[in-house]
Amino acid sequence: MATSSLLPHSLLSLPTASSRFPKTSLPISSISLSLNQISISRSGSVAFQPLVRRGRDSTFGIARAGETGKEETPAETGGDEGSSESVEEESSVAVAVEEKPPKKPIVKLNEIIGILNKKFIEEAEIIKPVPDIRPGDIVEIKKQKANRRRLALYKGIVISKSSAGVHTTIRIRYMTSGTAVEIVFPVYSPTIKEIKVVSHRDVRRAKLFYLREKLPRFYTFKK
Amino acid sequence: MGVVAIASHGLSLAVGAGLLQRNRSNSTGTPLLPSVVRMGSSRKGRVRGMEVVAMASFEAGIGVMGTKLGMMTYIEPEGKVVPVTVVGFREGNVVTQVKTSATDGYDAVQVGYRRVRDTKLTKPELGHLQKVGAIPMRHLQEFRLQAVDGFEPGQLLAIEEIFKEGDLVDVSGNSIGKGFQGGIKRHNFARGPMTHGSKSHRQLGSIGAGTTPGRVYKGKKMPGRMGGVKTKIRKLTIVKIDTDLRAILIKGAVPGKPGNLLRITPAKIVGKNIPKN
Repeated sequence: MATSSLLPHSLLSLPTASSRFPKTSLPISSISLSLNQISISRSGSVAFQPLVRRGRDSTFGIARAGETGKEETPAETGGDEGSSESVEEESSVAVAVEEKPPKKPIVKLNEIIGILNKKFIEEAEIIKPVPDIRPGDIVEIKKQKANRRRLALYKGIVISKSSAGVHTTIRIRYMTSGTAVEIVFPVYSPTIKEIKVVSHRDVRRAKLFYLREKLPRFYTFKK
Repeated sequence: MGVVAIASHGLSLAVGAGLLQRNRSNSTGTPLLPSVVRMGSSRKGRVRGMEVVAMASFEAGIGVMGTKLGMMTYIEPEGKVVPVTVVGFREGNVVTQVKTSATDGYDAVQVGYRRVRDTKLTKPELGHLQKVGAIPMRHLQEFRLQAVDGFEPGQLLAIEEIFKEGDLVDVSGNSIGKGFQGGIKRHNFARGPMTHGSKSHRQLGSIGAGTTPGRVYKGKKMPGRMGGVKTKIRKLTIVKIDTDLRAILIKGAVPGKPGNLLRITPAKIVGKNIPKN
């Protein structure tokens, strides 16, 4: 940088990353970046799996550029033929040339428990939609008891919520006939027919166990 | 329990109380030679000229191998909340060898589990699997059955056909290792008082009588290594079988931590399906 000594501000003369790289490699790196984006979007393709490693030499990008150029044209022609042939296939341009059925994503073993939890929660939600419950909410719960026709009604304040997938539980505290009662309800249980958030009390804690030492009027509710 | 000596080919095997002098076992872990010889045993065959009487116990049916994934809750449609263990299945459960009493002296089905890279297996192991055209698998276990008619080498075992929801199963696997543990944890001994001048809190106490017998009995429960051994939990219920995820939910806990290899077999219930000799 011949002009660095003439400029008054030394900041302007700091060598930038682009100035260090020779001009010839810049367009190649940009091409490989854009190609990377294109090839990643075509997740349906089976034949070509790009692995452009930035740390490698610049010639790597050039070789990939040639391959992707060849790969795109047959895929496009294949897509045109597919759309003209069968309308019921509903295949976009991103279908592989061999016309395989869409690959099922491989489920990792450590994801199975998470997927099972989501599945059970979805099944429970279909039967009864569960609202978003926070500690401090005053809720009304209707529960089916065994061998009873009428549903039991509980109205109290949520003092804690334990999130554990399908076994998410809430602890309700209320006062009935001079006795303080705390009940734990599994939110996604089929015996709980309805959960309704009636009102909300502003609290500054996640667990309201201090209510146990407080006066009963703080957890008494008229049904 | 009788002690019988078999002499053949100049070799004499003195068998006493379940111990064998030459107890070679292959990668499956089952001994090639008989472990106990009892009067009135039924299965006899000839292996390499020697009189072989195999006496390991039978399974109630073909089983599978699986991987413990973890535990979660399952809420039954009636509302009962049940703790379950989720057992997943890797690529495997392929029959690799069918042993018959004519060829091997006993009837068993050898099953492989868990696909691995070729380089992780030795050439003899790879050859054994390539003989039936199976993928390279890490674990091989035998299920000793009374009848091995319906099994072919190379057959894929489908979990849905062997087990169904509500079945009782026995699950065995390596339990969690606890290391060197004392009498209280290992053998549920009671500890001494913590106060009132006591000098013995977690010690064993007395380990025997006086001049007679003048020694400590063999098998006296003492501190030692605990856990990390094969443990079988019997009569667990299968709560759910998920065919898409290839997982089953078993009620209760099973040995080991998540990732542990499990051996799941139909439960052996006295009076129902324990095979008779």
